[in-house]
Amino acid sequence: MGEQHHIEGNIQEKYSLDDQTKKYILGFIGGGLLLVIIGIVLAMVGGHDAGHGHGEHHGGLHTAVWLRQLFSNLLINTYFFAGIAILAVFFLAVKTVSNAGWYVVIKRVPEAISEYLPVGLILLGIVLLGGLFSHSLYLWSDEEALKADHHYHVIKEKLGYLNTGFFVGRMLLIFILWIVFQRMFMKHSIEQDNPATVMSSFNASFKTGAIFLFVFAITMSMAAWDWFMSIVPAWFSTMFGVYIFASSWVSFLAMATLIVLYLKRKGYMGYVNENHIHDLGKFVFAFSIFWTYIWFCEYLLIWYANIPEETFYFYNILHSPLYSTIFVGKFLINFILPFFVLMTRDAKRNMKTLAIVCSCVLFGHWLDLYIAVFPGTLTHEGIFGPMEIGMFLMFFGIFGYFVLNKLGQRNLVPEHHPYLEESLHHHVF
Amino acid sequence: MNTKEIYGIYDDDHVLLDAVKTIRKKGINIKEAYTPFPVHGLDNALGIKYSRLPYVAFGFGALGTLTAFLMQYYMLVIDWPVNIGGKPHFALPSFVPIMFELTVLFASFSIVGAFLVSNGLYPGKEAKLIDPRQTSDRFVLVIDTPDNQEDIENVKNLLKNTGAITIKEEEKESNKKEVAHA
Repeated sequence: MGEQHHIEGNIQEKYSLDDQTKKYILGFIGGGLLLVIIGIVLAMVGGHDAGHGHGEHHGGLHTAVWLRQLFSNLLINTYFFAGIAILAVFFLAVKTVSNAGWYVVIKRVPEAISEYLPVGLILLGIVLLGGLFSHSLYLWSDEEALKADHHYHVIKEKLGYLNTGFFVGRMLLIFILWIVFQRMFMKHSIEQDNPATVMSSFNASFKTGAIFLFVFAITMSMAAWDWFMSIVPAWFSTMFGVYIFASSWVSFLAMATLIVLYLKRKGYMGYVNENHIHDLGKFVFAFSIFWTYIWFCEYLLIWYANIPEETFYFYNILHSPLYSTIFVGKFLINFILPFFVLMTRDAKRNMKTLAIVCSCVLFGHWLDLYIAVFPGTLTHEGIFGPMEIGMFLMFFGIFGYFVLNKLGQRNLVPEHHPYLEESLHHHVF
Repeated sequence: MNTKEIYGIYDDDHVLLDAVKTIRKKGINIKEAYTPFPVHGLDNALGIKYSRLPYVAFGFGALGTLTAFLMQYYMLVIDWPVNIGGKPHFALPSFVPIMFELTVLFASFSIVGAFLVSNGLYPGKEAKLIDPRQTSDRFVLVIDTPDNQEDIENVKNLLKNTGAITIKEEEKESNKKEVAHA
């Protein structure tokens, strides 16, 4: 610190996936797959749902428990990583529109993450359609189960919005808009590697970013209502769109920080100094607080108003030993941990501390989605076992392999970016 | 005991930054630097310790949280319990917004106060201007006058060599007052 870094002109650096990392990724995917298979077998064979359940009916979906569990897990994990990818586009848009300079040296990381978006959305689309047609995710999609549910009189008023045709239409619209903007940002990025087009592309990217932020605000809320809030179709919350956004946003920030730290550990990105790391740490710290704010606002208003059609959602969560443990646990992981550990300046500049906190926070926000999905699809038959862990590891491996591969395809530094110099000399107190 | 200070006045922030590094490398302690705007990297170059204000903010913030909690607990549970919407008297979620607000209030007021106290700023304090242009485009370094004449010459030469445009030597502020009273 303090010395002047004089890094002149061109920095050529290319990442390549090494054997050790490949082994880890294969381990994640293989181990995850094994756990998933064990989980499915346990769920199918186990007497968990054979003994009770169908007799005294609590409402909810009628599909076999193991199928609902499988689709719930698929939904959580396909969305979790696709959400990280779309939030990477959001990050690029925010940085472009706010004319930020500091992030340029790490720009390739969000770009590589955003490249996962088309893959992630295709997987998510398959899961959503599968869940819809096998009646294992959405109560409103299953007429028979819906009529037997004691919330039928409320839900039937919402069927004008919650029906298969409209749902699929909205889904495709969201997917297409997100992918189009992701491709546009990548196009800008490639143009900015060419000295001849860099300035015109840089100016044009401002417009892309501004329009995207507007489109994103609407599509992200729609995505949250459709894919997660409609799992409990009788329930509604105006905060829900922001809540899912906040959750995915922190997940993205933690993931991007982890990838930067990983690259530094592997000896790349020597020009990324502790000031950049500090800023990433501040991002994770600040938006962990933001997430908590949104999470508590949603809970406080519903608790305070105490209207039965709102309160039952939290009542069901807090009166299940499993769900309530996770509900409280994610508050500890997502708020108490980053708040107290990342509070000091030194902690944000310490790569090890930051890596540990980011890993925990990443898992904590995966738990957000668990709480958004499982209490609705599995109700009192909720479970947290090998299938849940395995599915996460598997998708983490797939995501990691894809992103690191994309990272290796281009120079790690956007060497002609107009703010590169500023970013190389970035300094914060 | 010396009662004087030497001032080196510079007209460029880059020259100042290099000067500070050169002077400190010679083992001479720089007491203070006055600049019209924050100079990037000057804190590090001067070897100033990192501010302890964050600890003040944390302490008072925690005090704010506690105050808000105890105040509400006393009011709503002990002193005047009221049935509000059938909620229990000790309803923690409804305490949280006030606890949050007082945390922010205490933390922000305390750091402003601590900043003013630690910098000796109080209402009616006379501004100490070594050079009338130090709030516009001049940069001032303050060094305690050494005891022997040789060292004084050394410091003055060093200031000149590092690009100071003016070098002054004056009585210290605190001594000036004593002299006036005597």
